[in-house]
Amino acid sequence: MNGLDTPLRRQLIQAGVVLHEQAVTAHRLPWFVRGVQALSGWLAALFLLGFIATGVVWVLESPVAALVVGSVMIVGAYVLLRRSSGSDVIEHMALAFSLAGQLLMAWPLADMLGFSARFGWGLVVMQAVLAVGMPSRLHRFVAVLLACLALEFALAAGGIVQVASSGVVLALVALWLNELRWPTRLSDVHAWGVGLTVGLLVLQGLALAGQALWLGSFIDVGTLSPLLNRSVGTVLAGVALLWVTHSILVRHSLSKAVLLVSYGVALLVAVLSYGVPGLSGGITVLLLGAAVSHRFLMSSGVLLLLAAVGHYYYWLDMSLLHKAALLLVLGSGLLALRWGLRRWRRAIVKRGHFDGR
Amino acid sequence: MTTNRRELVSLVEGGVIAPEQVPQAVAVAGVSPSPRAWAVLLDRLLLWLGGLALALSVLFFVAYHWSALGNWLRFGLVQVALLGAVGVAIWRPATMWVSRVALTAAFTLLGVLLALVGQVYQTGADPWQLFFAWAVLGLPWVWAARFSVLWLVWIGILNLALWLNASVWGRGVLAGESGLWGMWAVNIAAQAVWEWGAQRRGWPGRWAIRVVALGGGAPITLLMMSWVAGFAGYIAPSAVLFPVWLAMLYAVYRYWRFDLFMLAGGCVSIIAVLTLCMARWVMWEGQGEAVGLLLVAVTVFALGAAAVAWLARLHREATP
Repeated sequence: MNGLDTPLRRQLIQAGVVLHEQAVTAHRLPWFVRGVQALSGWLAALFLLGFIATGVVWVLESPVAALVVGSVMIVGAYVLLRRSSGSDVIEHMALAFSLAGQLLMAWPLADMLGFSARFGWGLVVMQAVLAVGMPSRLHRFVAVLLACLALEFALAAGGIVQVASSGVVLALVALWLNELRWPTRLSDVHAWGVGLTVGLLVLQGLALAGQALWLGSFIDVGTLSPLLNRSVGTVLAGVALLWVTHSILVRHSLSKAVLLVSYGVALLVAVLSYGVPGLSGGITVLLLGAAVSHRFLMSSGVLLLLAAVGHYYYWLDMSLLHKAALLLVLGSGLLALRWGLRRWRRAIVKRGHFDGR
Repeated sequence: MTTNRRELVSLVEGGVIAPEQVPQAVAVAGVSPSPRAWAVLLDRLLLWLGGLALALSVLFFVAYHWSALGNWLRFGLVQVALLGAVGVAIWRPATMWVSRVALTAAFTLLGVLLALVGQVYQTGADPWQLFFAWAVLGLPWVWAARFSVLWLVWIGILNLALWLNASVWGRGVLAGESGLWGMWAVNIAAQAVWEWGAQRRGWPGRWAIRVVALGGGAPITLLMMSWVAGFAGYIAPSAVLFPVWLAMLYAVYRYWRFDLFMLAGGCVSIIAVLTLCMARWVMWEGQGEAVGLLLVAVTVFALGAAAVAWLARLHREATP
């Protein structure tokens, strides 16, 4: 069997989908080869930044010069990308230039606005513009990832913490569930989607490790209202979870009881997430990954779920003996639930009502 | 399912399917899981979370250090849990996944039992012997589970034992670096055995061999970088073994069993070492001049571009 005669292609042709085979021209490189390129590009960018910092230090001393040189570097990167016609080497060189340019632009901004919410929002806008405008999948991915970090910074500087990651979960759901809605921009959607997923992993990782580890170096991390912040975060993540649940359930003709139980469990998890931050987010990403058959999303979901539960459990204010008892009850409950579900499925299959063929 | 998805996405991205026919193609490809697939996912999730929660509950119980309970009862409890897990694994109606979860739990409980020995007989909080004994005694169950993830955990524990041993007993020429040497030796040996098994016996887990290869490649690269950074005019073992390792990697994965991932790893290692060489000789020796930094940036970039051009050519040759 060659690449042009696969079961999926035969299925598609039988269903009347026309395949324009001559359209395939690109020879895609495996991710790890692109990774080698990214690594060398980033290393080169670091040295390039060092060169700018030491060799043309006058640029950093003058805000106007920094803004002008930064803009020129970003525009230069844009032009390189437009003319590179998909060359990976040029793509990384352009990324290195762009990152150096972004830092040069951020420098005078930080000088003018300080490490404030306005500075954070300025970075969010800059990254959003780059994520949409830069004609490179890699650059879009990096811009979305940096936008997630900038969003966390902007919100935290305004006294709103624990909300950014829930917002990212919601954006992730909106994007992946509409992945194939704009077929001509599919590669852009994937770059944004992976950027959001990695951004979420980073944000959750930082949140669990302690916000002060990175935000505390710049700003005084204090919240306006912990109750309000946590509620908003819980609601956003809950909406994302219910959205995914709904999109999965409407694809199958299920009985009313199954629908009610499914929505009920999703709602319960969403509410429980108030006490266990990250629980809804983890389950949402896991379900989303399964719904769109995306292994990276599923693995990220499992990771987020285990991190949220592990973190909650670690900080739980009770003795190790009580924790052991709680885990015993939880483990037994989960296995009993599995046993019950298997029996229920077997009974349904026997009756012939189960549509899982 | 994910294979279908990948192929469909590649067809849509390549413009093989017209935009107006994409919704129809999505429906035909069946990338959305069936109710049966959802049931399997839920089943595995509940099985793993439930099994691990039970094993961890024993761990927390031991960590509570309930001395009033008496040693006999504490040892008995952990051993009963251990026997229970092994019993479930060899229980005939158990499916492959139930056996794997049970053996993973048994392996975890063995570690808990050894920790309890350390706790009761005051052999120390985390001596290397505990992890080494855990790896040796748990080997039969890891072997029986035929589960790549558990093998990786086992290799990780062996690495930890070596690292702890080196931090206590590292001496001689290799002092300070014995942990990295030990990790390199263990992971290279594991990689060689697994690769042999994969080729001759059809052992699964290509992705796991790659993880083990990372575990072998990272230490030797760090050792080489350490020699470059502190170069004092003598030839260290790493200066000899690093090129040997690279040559072996090239010979095995270019000619015996083609694997682009391994070759890419070798390229990353070379780039890292050469970048440090450049940084040392151009910047440090040249008092960190700006031009030196620019020169390093250009060299790194050129190295990356050359590596990718070579890897892309190999990829094109390997995929018709």
